[in-house]
Amino acid sequence: MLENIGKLIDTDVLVIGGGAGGLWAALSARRHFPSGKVTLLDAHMIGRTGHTAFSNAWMVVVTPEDDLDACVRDIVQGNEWIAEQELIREVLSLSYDQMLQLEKMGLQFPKEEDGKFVRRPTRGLRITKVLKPIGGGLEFCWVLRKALEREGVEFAERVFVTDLLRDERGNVAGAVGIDGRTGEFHILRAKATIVATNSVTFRAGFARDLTGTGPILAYQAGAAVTNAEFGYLRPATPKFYFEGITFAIQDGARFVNSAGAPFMEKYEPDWSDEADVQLISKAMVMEKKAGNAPLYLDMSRIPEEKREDYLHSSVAWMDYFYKKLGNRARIDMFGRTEYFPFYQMTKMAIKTDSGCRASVPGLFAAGLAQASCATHFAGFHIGACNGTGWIAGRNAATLAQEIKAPSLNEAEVELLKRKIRGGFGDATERSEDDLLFELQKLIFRHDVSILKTEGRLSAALGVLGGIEEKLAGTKASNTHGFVRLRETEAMVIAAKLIFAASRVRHESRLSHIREDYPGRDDRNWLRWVLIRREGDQPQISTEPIATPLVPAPNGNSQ
Amino acid sequence: MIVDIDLDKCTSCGLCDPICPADVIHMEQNGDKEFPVIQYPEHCVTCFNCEIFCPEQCIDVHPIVRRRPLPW
Repeated sequence: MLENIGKLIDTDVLVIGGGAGGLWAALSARRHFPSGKVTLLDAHMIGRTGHTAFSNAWMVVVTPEDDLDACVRDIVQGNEWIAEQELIREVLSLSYDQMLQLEKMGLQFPKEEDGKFVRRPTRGLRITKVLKPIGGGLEFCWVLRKALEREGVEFAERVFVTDLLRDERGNVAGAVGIDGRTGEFHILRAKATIVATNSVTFRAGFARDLTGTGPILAYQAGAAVTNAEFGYLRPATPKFYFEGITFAIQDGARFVNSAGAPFMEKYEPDWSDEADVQLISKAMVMEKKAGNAPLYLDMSRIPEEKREDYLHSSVAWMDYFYKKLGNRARIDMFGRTEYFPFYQMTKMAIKTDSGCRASVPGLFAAGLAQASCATHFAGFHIGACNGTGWIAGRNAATLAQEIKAPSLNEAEVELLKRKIRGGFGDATERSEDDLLFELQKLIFRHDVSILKTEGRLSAALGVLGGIEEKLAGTKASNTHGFVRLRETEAMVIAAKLIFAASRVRHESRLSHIREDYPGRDDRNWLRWVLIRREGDQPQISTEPIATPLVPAPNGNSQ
Repeated sequence: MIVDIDLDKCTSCGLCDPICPADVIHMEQNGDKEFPVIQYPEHCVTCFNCEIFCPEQCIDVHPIVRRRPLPW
């Protein structure tokens, strides 16, 4: 009896992860299967946690007067064709209706005097516009949480998923995990499972760097993941959190080198300091390589009368942060502050078809755990999460209505429970935090994760092997430590896949910069790099990227 | 990073415990009541959730984030 092994929750659709993708997936599944049971699970409190909650919640919205096909082209070209074109088209076509739904739920969007929504362009996209709700991500997530409560979605909060479940046919059939506080073992049996977590971060130090483990859970369950060679890079200072680089630059700030000289124009003649954050990060690495570090963001040229604007935000936590920066930390952001390019998170995500179906039956993906494209720009992070959530929820609901409850092998569930127990033990020589620090020392290095070569990637894999060995002997003494340990394990696996995929793509494109293959190669590399687990090792293959809507730049439509 | 919870002002409502996205604050029995304890300050992500949502405004978060390795 499964009930004797742990707390059993039966559901039609299980959604893992309570950010934008998961909240929308749960709502969509509910609406498409009104008589079914939908369960939304998160490791913490739904509506108050995650990458979305701590963002501004800028989102791409294509209104009826916009040219939808032109926006699709914009996103695909901005992604240098690493994009699931038909999925992106549907995501964009849903965006206006989803925004109106949010408004009906009570989320407010600023409007012009003529009643039109206030929208602005976003860096890296030529015509597609973005807007944000008042109160940012926290308000966005809370409004959706309340809607889910009203519509009868069940919540499983503070449950940390350790493995996806497979039924006797090999299909994904839910998940197992533990209560994040009591450690109680949970079995969530589901007809359809949607992984909608964040992708993997390496805890670069920002509030929104709460890591997701979803793509690794899917990889471990046999699903293909892709885009591991791409990452989200951004310039940042270790001294404090700052979100407003775009506006600061528009107001006169600029990046300068050790001699005080601006350097962005040298690397990005068209955009200069107004280039996308990934291009700024790349230019910073090149400037460091030229021997001109340390590098700074110089905000001293921002006029006095505009400075007050930087000390306020409509997003509550940022508002607290900026107020305290001067009062408590006595940090003046309007000077020259040393900046670095940080590898904030991987773009590795679950490969799906245009219906958000993963390569293993029963499994769907949404949010940043789903690989719609390799770079999301400001606004397409949440935009893509909203749309993929809706699509995954709809298709998971359809599947759940068609199939019977899955049959689980009790011995396998028992084994997964024992695996959790095996992670606990007396305090070991090294803690999970020590190993995380070792991993960060490796993955944050500019010449490993940003400017790559075959030799350095191979060497990094060697260092990673050592960390993996130490990790295998590390135990957690309590539930908190166990969760951190499993998250660190997911990061180590992610790093392995990042280095492995980066070795395979012999070109430079977007955030994947190979010093030994500096050019973009459209003839050979309009391909997904796919990774599947076989035994304990990653197996890498490539497949062409379909270009049914926006022809490939070399004219080679697939 | 979270630095202080003023237990003289705290009413033991318990909200700060589940609202923390990093499991830093734990409610623990102290006499006949539960009070919040900063169990894992080193894992605070400086999101200010606890300070923002505390109805008694008795939590203080400092804006400086923890150190991590740098790219060079």
